[in-house]
Amino acid sequence: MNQKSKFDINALIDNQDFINWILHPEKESSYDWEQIIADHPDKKEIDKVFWVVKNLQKEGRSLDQRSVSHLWKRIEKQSIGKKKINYFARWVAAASVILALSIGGVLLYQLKFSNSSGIDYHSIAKVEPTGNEVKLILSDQSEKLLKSNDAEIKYDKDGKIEINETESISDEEIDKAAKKEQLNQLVVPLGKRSSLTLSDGTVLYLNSGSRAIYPVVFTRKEREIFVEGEAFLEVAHDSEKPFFVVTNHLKVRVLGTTFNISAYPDDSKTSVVLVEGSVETLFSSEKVLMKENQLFTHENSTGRTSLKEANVLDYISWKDGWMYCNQKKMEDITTKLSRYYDVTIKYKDDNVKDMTITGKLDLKNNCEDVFKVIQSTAPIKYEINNGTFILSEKR
Amino acid sequence: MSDKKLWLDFLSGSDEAFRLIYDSHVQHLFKYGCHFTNDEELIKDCMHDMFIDLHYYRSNLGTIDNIKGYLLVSLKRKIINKLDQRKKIKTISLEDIPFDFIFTGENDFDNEIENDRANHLKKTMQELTPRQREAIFLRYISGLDYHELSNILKVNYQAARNLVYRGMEKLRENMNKNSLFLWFFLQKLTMGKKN
Repeated sequence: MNQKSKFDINALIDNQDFINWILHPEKESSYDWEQIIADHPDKKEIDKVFWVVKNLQKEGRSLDQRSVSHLWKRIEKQSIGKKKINYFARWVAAASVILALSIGGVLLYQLKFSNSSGIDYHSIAKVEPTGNEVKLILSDQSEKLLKSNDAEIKYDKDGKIEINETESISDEEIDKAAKKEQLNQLVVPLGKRSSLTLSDGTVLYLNSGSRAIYPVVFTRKEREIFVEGEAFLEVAHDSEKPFFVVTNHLKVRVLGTTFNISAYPDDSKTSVVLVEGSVETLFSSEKVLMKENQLFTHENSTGRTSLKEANVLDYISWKDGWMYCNQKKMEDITTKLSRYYDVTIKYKDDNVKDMTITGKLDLKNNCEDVFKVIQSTAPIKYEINNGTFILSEKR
Repeated sequence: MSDKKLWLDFLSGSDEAFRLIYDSHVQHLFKYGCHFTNDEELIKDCMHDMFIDLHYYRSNLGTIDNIKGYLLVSLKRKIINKLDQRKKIKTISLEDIPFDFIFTGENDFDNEIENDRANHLKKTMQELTPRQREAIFLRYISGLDYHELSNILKVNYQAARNLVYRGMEKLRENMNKNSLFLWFFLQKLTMGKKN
């Protein structure tokens, strides 16, 4: 067929390939449009189409960058932010680590690495994460109870505290002794979560049954905080002041910007998962520089360590209200669920513990809904007896 | 990432996908919205409401092939409802919705002839019906196909196509009326490449 008739003027304005060529002449095209037009009897008309389409692109207004991000913040607050405490967007371009730490029976384990601040966190961390309320402990040891399920605490650069965007308090000792580092502590009980913005802009998301100890303002030349339980961190960049997270067995030096820590006293090992960026894990006298998508584990009783590739989503999804299970054992799943919802889970049949599940559990629903999902997909049955979930095999 | 995949990620609860959808379409949605009203705050409010709804109702949404087309329909509905409320008129007929073209950054061409042409295009645009203008916008600025056009313009496939044809025809005709036009643009381009 003759190409000239194939490409009459209306066929051309319909031809996506032709339009793409007008807009992006440098890109590869299935036809030699220049040649087709040069041989075309209606060259003049095509020329006009070309020019019109090209100039149409200059039409219209655009939003400046400030409006774009302002609008997103408004949207986010009423969509993503409404249900949970996370702020996914901010850590996308950053680094993520998870530390799962256990002190097991060795409660008074000595920190073997050098603790630059010399702070004895164990003596400070004596408030148990019990009770039903998130507890904020100020430097004078006074306690503040926060009633919401997903409490939001923010320190501004002067150390002034804002709670859930409504209440504002300040740690009075800041004014008296500005030079001394004042430590505050946030204790999150089982079944609750919290977000905490530190004075340098670093954001921590604390999972159920966790605590963090941190200075009201960072006055030293290194920033250092203590975490027990599980937390996701977005560390504000400051090349002058490196950021360290201290746990019972490990210390993490943040070279990138964001990471997630899980350090529960009843887990048998400490692990770090790096999603993006760069961190260095320090333990005993060794240090390990981790790459993205790697899982580092440290068995707390033997000191044995390993480094391997991992599916990072399995470790960080709690932050977004999901649990990703990839051939995950029921025993591990129920450990997490019992912390997350503060419920007791028991087994009638022990072989249920070893069953594995693959998929995604929505933790935004209540605990029973989660078990309904499990029951419908796996040969597992649940019953509730006095608030305790009892699992058995479906026969 | 394909639209289909991104959309599925979003439906299955990925907030990252939600953010990505916002980031990739925010500018174009705003640009489209500006054709219905000059009130930029109203457009932003409508975009806000639209994204909130999208997130809220995501478990009820089905699969789609073209996210942009879907968002444009939703935004248009929001804007027209809001304009309706404001004017206290029950419904505006589709034909009566204005669709104005705005050319900013004028006179950025390096020669007078080009400037004259650009001004002429602006003027000619005003001679088209609002529906033709919108069709041309959706086809050549949004880059949508006729199926999506017919969905947004609430007409059938052929009618959507005719709006684009007629519009382009009128634009070309009007170019002829202007004696200043010397159509050597393509020759120049071809020669430039060979050198």
